[in-house]
Amino acid sequence: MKSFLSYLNATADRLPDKLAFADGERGLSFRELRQAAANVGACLKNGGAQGEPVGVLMERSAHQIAAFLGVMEAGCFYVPLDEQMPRERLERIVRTLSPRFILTDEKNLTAAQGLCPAARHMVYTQAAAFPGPARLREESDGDALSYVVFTSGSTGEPKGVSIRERSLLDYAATLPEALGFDESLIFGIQSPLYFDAWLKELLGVMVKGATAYLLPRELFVNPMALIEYINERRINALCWVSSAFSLVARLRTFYAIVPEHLKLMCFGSETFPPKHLAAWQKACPDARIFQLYGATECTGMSFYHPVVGPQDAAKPIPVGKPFPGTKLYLINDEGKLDREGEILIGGPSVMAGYYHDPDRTAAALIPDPEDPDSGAVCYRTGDRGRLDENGDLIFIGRRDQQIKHMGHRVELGEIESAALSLNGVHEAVCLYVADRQRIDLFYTGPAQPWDLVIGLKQKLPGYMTPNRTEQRSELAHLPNGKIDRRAIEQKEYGK
Amino acid sequence: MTFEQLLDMLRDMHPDIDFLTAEGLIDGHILTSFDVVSIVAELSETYGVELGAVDIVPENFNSARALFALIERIEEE
Repeated sequence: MKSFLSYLNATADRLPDKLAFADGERGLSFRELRQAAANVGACLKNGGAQGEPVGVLMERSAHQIAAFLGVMEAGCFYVPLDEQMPRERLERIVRTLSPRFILTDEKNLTAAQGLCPAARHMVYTQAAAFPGPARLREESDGDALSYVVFTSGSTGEPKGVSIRERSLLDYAATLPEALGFDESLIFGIQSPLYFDAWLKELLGVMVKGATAYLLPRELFVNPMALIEYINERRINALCWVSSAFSLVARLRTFYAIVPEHLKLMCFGSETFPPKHLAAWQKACPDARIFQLYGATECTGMSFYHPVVGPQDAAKPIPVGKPFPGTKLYLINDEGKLDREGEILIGGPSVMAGYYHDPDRTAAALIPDPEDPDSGAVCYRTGDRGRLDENGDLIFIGRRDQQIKHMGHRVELGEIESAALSLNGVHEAVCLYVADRQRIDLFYTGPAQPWDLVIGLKQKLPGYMTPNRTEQRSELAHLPNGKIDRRAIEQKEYGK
Repeated sequence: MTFEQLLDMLRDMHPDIDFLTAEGLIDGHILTSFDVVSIVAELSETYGVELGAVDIVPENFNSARALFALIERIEEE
């Protein structure tokens, strides 16, 4: 089959000098992006890389995207390592991968060498100057991995979601069409590049010839400057987590300034409070709006629903219908297909598995319920949903202790495990206060709250560190000896 | 609203930060955009202090004193 990179060949042939990606200072045209990826790919191949993980530890930039594509060009798969990830998490990821090659930039070279001394470290600027071919590879076998991204796991060990090239090709064939992407779009990327959320914008750029700006993180504490930045660059398409849209609305930004060019808004990953959605609809009356739903294990988003006109605050907005080729099953508590139950997703978007983790892969991927002997598998999302009268999927909630916080998937159990690994912590429970978007940690033991705050900062990414840490003389238990989360919730919040 | 009330409110949100002396809270990435949202909501809901969009710039959130100076300006208006 054709390769994912063949999309970039076609778009760079058609629009060689158009801007593809830009960050604060630098931009890459389609021609430059293709050449940089081709050169990085040739440099890796020349160094002996082949069908293996390549860690990418770079500053968030247009060049980081060229590095990811260059890894694919070499027939390898990229693993984003973020400079903002805590050391311990990075070490666990590197232990799982044992990469022979790491692509990095000057700024991160020392950190990359310390993290993985045995690997060969290639500095991006040198790799991108290596003489590579003029075009990227056109062919693929489909089964090779394209990337591995790590997500939160309840035991504290991050899980490496491994995505095949054919899943990425399926995403490229479905999402841009379903959402009506075209070359007139100019995206503003909010999400970090070390997850999969930004693939939506990547597809808009690579498949349709759109342009995307990486929005500087600091702008999200300065909402007026954020909207000015968006207006100055004529950004007209935003695919953000709901909490980022909410934040702009809650800070009353629209009384002072509104996005002037917005044509498309996509949100997902979390509930969008109706009054904040209404504020965006009023500020940007010409924007088409979609709610999306999916899982990292199914290559990003799998469902979409157009949001038109005022929404009834009492009714949830559907996450809608699957992209063509994606299968949806709902399994009730008896394990039977039903109109309400756990959401299972099947089709070409389903991951190959968790990297080097057969046990957790076997728990997550089960045979297709309608065709159990075909070898096809479905991903158990752990989310609950139901079908409404129009056949649209409605998201109900999580089955376990997983939450969405600031757009990130967080297992509360991972925070508890990290707390329990600290000296002087006997028991720990983490609760999520959804209406305040706050993570609270309660614990017993002689350690002081300050010790936990410092200790957890070294073990967990910033978005996972509790917003409040409180010592208790005891925590409530169930008769079976487990911590009684409901009783603690009752006691702490009176609900 | 008094400076002590503001300090109590901030400490309740982040017991790990010494707001009396801490500076560069935004520039040093100590507070995130979500903390700013919480502060704005708490000031409005509990103390009736309404910050406008023009007030939400890093300079006003870099220290408790800067934030208190902003609150005093708003309350005088």
